[in-house]
Order: sequence, then structure tokens, then C-alpha cells
Amino acid sequence: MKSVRRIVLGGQEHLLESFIDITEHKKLEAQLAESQRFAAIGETATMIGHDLRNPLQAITSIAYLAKKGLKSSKPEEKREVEGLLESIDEQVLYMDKIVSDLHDYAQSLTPKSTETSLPDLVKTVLSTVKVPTTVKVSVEIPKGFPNVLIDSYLMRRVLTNLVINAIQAMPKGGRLVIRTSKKEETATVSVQDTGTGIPEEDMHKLFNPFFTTKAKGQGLGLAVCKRLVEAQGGKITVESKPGKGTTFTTSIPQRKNVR
Amino acid sequence: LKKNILVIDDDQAVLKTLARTLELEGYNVTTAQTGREAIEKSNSQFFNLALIDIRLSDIEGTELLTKMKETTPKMIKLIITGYPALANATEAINKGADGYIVKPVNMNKLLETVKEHLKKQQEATKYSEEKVVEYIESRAKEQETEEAKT
Repeated sequence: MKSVRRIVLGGQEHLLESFIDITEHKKLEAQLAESQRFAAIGETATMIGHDLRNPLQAITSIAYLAKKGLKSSKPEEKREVEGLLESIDEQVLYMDKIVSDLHDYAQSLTPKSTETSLPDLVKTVLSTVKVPTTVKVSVEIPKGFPNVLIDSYLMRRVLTNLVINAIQAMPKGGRLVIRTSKKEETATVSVQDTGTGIPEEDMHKLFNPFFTTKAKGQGLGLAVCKRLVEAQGGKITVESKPGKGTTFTTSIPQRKNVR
Repeated sequence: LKKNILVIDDDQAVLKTLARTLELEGYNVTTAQTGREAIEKSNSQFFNLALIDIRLSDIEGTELLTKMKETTPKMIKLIITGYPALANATEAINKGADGYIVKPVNMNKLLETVKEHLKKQQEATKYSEEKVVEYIESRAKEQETEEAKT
């Protein structure tokens, strides 16, 4: 690091140039940044490890039970094996979500907006998420709803996360409502649940990465939603009343009229 | 006599499959998804053993250990966790855990661990029963001797 000063000595003007060797300082700064990066990686790896171990435990137990059931000659035990094997799909989907969330949070995004049918997108999302029978689903999309300009892959991820969150917020059942609207130059999709709601003190932390109130989950879902929506120039908002339910609304600007 | 086991885990799939595996081995299994449910159930029934997940939605498994230790001192408490760390393992042992199992655990190994702990519990119960019998017998003999003297 160099600094130059003008000084007057014995009536004569001089330039005083001084140098400080900051090589060591820079080295320490780099070491600190590196150790912070390792600490963050360590923390993330621990959380992901924990989240993956639960579905892995379920699959290990399913495999054990299936092997046992296949050896049995009783037809009811064979039927139980079929049910167990189907539940492996659920565990695999859950593990895929963990990995996808992390990927979506870490990767650089270049959204590609294309004309997309929101009713079709909502249908696809609902077909990939397992909705308990205690949760009633309503999709409120006006007839003849125009196509919208969005990145369909990113929006599918956003809606999937919001729908999963809504279902998890209603462990005793409830109502899930998905609404779409297009006002002026903005397309909005909202996901409403009649679940537990979010306490006031947690509202401002909701979209922070790794913030979670659940025992299960690494707290990336909403952070990912925010990132994916903002990458498309949009915003995500939340309204919640503890004990009544929560509504998440995503708004994506429409750069040109699409029909 | 069938042994009673309480399985506590917030993950429904894990809970269901662990419970079924233990049932097939001939145990009476009760499940709980929260710490609160576990405390309620363990207060109303005797369990020989509990498998306790370390992270529950309403309470940490280690805290649950402290609460359960007061009401169910004889129940074997095995911590089962997908969050293995030296800190929580030490805490679990200090708070009264009898074992620490890391997910995903091989089911044969889990069953073996459960069986071993239950065997030790049975031996300890038998030993304390024998001690009680021995004490009663010796007291009876002492009394007989005293009565003979008088």
C-alpha cells in the first residue's frame, strides 16, 4: 500500500512517499474468507446430511420390510410390500427436493421467459406433490386465462415449494387454494392455506436462507422461491394470521402482451 | 410377555417403518410424533424401551430425555439421530441416554441393539427381584432365630 504526502522542510517542498507491506494482512484476509467459506460449507453439509438421513432411514427400513414380506407366503403381506415400494417414490422425491433447493440456491440464474399456460403449470405441480386426503384443493383460475410470460421451470419450482409448505402447515387437514390473476402488466399466482399461520416475530426472517421452524427441512425452500421469483424481475409477498392461515403471492412482470 | 416400545420421531415415514419392523419382531409398539405426545403416552403406560429422535418439532430429544428421566427412570432410552455430532452425543449420554444410534441404521443392527438392551433390563430386573427375595428370606430367618431365643 502506497501513500504520498507533500511536506515542507527548510522552506523547500518535498514529496514524502511511504509504503506499507500489507502482504501478510492480505494473506490473513484470504485465510479468514477461506475459513468462513469452509464453515458455511460445513454448516450446510451438516444440515443436508441430516435431512437426507431421514429418507435414507425410511428407505433402509422399507427395504428390510420388503425383503421380509417377499419371503412370506401370506397375500396380505405381499400387498403390504407393494405399498411399501410405492412409498420409496415419496422418499426419493423428497431427497430430490433437498438437492434441487440447494442447487437452485447456489446456481447462477438466467431465466428464459416463454409463453406459459398457468392452468397447465398448476396442474403439473399438483400432480407431482402428494396431497393428503384431509387437505381439500381448489384451483381458482378464470376461464380463458391468457398465457403469461414466465420461466416455466423456475415457476414450477416456486409453486412446488409453496404448495409443499402449505400442506405441511396443515397437519390436521384444511383447504389449499391456488389463484391466478393478470392485472395490467403483472401476472400473479397465490397459494393460500388454512394452516397454523406464521408468528409475527418470524415474518421478517421467512425468506432468509436456512431459517426454519420445522424439525425437518433445511430452510431453503422460501429463500429459493424468493431468488427464483426475483430472477424473473418479480416479487413474492406473504400475509399470515397465526391460527388462521397464510397466503404467499408471486407477481411476475409481463414485458409484452402475450396471448 | 411382550415388551413395550415407544418410537418417537417427527418423520412419519421413519416412524411408520420403524414401528412395523419392531412389531414384526413381536414387540408392542406405540408411536409419538412430538415430544408432548411422547410424555403423555409414557406417563400413562410403562414402556421397556424408547427410540427417541434427537430433533423434534416441539422439543429437542435431549431435553425430552431429562423430562422422561424423572417420570420413567427404568425405561431404556435410545437416541436415534440423523444429526450425529460429538456435542449432542455427549449431551444425550449425560442426560441419561442408554444408547446413540445414527441414521440410516441397518435394521438388523437396530433390532440386535434393542434386543441386547432389553435382555440387560430383564437380567437387572431378575437380579433385583432375587435380591428382594434373598433379603426377605434372610429377614425371616433372623426373626425365626429371635423368636426361638425368646
